[in-house]
Amino acid sequence: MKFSYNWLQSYFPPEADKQKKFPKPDKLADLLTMHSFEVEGLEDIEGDVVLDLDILPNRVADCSAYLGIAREISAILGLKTINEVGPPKGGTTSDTRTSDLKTEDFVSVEVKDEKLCPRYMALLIKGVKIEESPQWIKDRLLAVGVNSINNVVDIANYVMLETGQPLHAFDLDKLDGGKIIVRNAKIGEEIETLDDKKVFLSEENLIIADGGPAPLGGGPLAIAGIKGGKKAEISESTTNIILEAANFDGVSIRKTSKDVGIRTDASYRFEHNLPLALPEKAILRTAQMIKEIAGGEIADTTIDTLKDEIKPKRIIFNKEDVSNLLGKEVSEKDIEKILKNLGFKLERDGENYFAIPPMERTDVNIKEDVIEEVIRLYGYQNIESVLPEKTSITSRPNEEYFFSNFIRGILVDMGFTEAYNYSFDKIGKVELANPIAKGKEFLRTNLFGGLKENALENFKNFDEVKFFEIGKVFDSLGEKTNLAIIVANKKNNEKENEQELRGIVEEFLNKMSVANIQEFDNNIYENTFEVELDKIIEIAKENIDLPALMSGRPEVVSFESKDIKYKPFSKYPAIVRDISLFVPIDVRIEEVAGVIAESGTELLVDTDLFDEYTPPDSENKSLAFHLIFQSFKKTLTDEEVNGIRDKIINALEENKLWQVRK
Amino acid sequence: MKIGILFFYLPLFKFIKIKRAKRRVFACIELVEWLVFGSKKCYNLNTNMSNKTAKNKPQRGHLHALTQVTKEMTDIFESMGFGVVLGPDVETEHYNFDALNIPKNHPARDMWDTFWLKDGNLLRTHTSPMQARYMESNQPPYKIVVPGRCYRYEATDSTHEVQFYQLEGLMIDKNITMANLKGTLEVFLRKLFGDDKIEVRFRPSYFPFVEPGLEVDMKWKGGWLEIAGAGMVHPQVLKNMKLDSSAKEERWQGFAFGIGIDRVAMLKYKIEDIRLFYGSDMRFLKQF
Repeated sequence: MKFSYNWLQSYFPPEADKQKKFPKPDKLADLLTMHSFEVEGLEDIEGDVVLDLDILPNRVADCSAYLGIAREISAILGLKTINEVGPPKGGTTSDTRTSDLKTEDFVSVEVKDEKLCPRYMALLIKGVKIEESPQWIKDRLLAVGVNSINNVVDIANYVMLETGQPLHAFDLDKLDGGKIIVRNAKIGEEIETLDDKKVFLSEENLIIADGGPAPLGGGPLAIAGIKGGKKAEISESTTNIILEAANFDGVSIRKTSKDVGIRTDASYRFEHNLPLALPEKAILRTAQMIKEIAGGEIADTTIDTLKDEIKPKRIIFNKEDVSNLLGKEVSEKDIEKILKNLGFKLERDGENYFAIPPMERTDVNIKEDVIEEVIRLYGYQNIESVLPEKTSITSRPNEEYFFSNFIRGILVDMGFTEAYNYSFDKIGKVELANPIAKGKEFLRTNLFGGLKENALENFKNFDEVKFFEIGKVFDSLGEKTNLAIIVANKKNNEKENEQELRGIVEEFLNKMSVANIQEFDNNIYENTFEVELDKIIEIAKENIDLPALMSGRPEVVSFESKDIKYKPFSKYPAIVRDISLFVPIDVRIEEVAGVIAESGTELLVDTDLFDEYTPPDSENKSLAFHLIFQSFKKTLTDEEVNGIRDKIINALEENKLWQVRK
Repeated sequence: MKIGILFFYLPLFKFIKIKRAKRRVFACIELVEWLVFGSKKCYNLNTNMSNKTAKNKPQRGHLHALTQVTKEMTDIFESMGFGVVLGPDVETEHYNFDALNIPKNHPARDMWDTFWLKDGNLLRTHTSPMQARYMESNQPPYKIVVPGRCYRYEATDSTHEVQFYQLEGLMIDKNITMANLKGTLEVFLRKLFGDDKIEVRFRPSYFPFVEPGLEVDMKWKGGWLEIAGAGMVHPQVLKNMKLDSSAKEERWQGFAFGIGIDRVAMLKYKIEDIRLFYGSDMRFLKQF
């Protein structure tokens, strides 16, 4: 979520805290990353910097808002904030509620299901003038990618960004029957949204509707918490408005949003279950800003459907709980300071504290949540590494894991290379409800199919492929782990490949101490062999002294650590040219290779000496090299490669004693 | 000229003692191969040829990079007393989500883009379901790691794949702390990357099955790299497993972490594209 640096800074004017300075953007980003949320990007825009914060799902309720992030910053730095619910820049605070108007005289609100809409607030403002927003509002919205519509809509958006509470404004004079009804849509109902889309609604979808005369009884004004409709849209001619600030059930919003395929800044916030107390704060703030910017008279009363008083949470914990979980002592003084900076109230009861989180903090419910608050602000860097004490836990080696690796070692020693193929296939028994692509609709039932494709693919670059794979296969009964191997030689016919495979399977089974090899005849298919891993393990276990083998943990040779230096390779084909030459017998190969490398350009990716020969009684020796040319950008042509080869030959022949054979 | 070499060395064949016909074939092939490809040492041939030809070993193949990294990781954890446990790729919604404190329609489920099966099950989106499965059928204390294939329904690019490997860790005992988590991961990473200077740092994060939830970075070669997600096992998860985390004497607590094995392999070998692991291209595989 994007936040403007300037806007954040406006909560911390220098006069509020003369001792401490508001940090520069990169410093601020570091602090937020280490204590609150990862800052995924810093973007310079004209006169401002935009911070892209990864607001964690459990913190959307309080931190998808400037005030939430400002609270975090103030707690991290111990800076004082002002302007919490103050006026917008340039405005003044005043009690605006001096009107005789009563909202309930103009509109009534009916909520059909309190579970889906635990709170609905409505407030009347009469006599507004719809105009363009002042530039400073436009700038702040634009900085975070919100388009300006008109002053009233912009202010509603502005307050949502500021407080996290989505708001909506209806044109009172377009409401039928003077009624707002929060209900599920009826079969066949549809709505035209503000962005001119027709949306068909189902009975699962919660909507805001108006009254209207019987028998129809009004129609949809908005898809609750997701998107407003055309019917009661704020337009240039609007003068009287009803402001809505409500709380909707997150699950219901999430379902409807998926149903209708519309996701908005509002639905995103509601999905995460916003605090019940938030509408009150936000609706007054919005009304105040509208009065100041768009004029009008704010009604003296607000309709509020909330029945029960909101009870603050009280979470008991003590200092010992903190150190028990963290393995780090944090002093009571620090605990108190941190929690108070975060806006918690603390009550003391002997050794224990009762922590009362601010009403926005829907994520803090248990002791561990409070401890997290303490340590993330205290600083995770202050936890020292401590290895766990030795325990009595004894772990048994895992048989399947052990044998998988044992078998891998044997096969690699026999010249096989291990493949990891995708678990998906175009045919199978277990079908995906949401396949990622065509040809990947099922889970694979075997491994050999994949290996056969691998062999074909690799024939582009290699004449012979010997692969194996150990992996899961799936059928209607469940999943199991299989082992499959393939022997494929381009130059052999099918019979020869199968013959070679049979020899190899025999050797492999021998090494696994499997005596009765005929038993596995059915596992051979053409040039592949596939078997259930468990079957091999069961038989092998009869003949192998397993406990000794496993306790000894023999390092299978192939697992010896070696110095692997991976080199990226080109996806374009390589072209090979050979060069052979006579050089005096005392010339070092490196010297010749050096000349080749120097003249070969970056397209010469490998030089491979494949022959060296000194005829008896000769003063010269013969060297022969494969030169491998390849580009990372394109397929090379013969002309290009021949040109470079000629350059190399010229360079070699500059030495009069070296003679290139042509 | 190659033929010339063959004729030159052909008489040597009779000096090689071969008892069985089958072996003779191998030995001949090997000698020919050796003459053609390995003949750079041919001027030494007369002195040590008998040793060279006695071995009858094909050229070795290659273990997959992920196999090697997984084994290194589990070896280190086994040396620290962790047991290896494996789990199914096809999971139920219960183990993948509900048992881990991620109820249906919870926005946190968006963190895991899921492949659903037509029968209502799913492909595990992480190895964490094995936490629940293991705790359910074993008595505490626990000290396990779970390597395994996971799946995410997402667009692929050089750092994202629809399938990938994860190593889950779980340690629960009477007094396992966050400091122990830091110590364990630090020792592990130092051994894995063979660098005693590696440091670990935690950042705030959120996973519904841990509290506090952490992102783990490691300081390596001058920079911080994201390496794991972790946290202290959430009391609700323990409760789901009928383990009490409240009573003082009987309090079980501990940590869990998940490390992306592909990511570790990419860092270790400087591989630029995760998709190479699953492409079965010999040009890639033969380098490991």
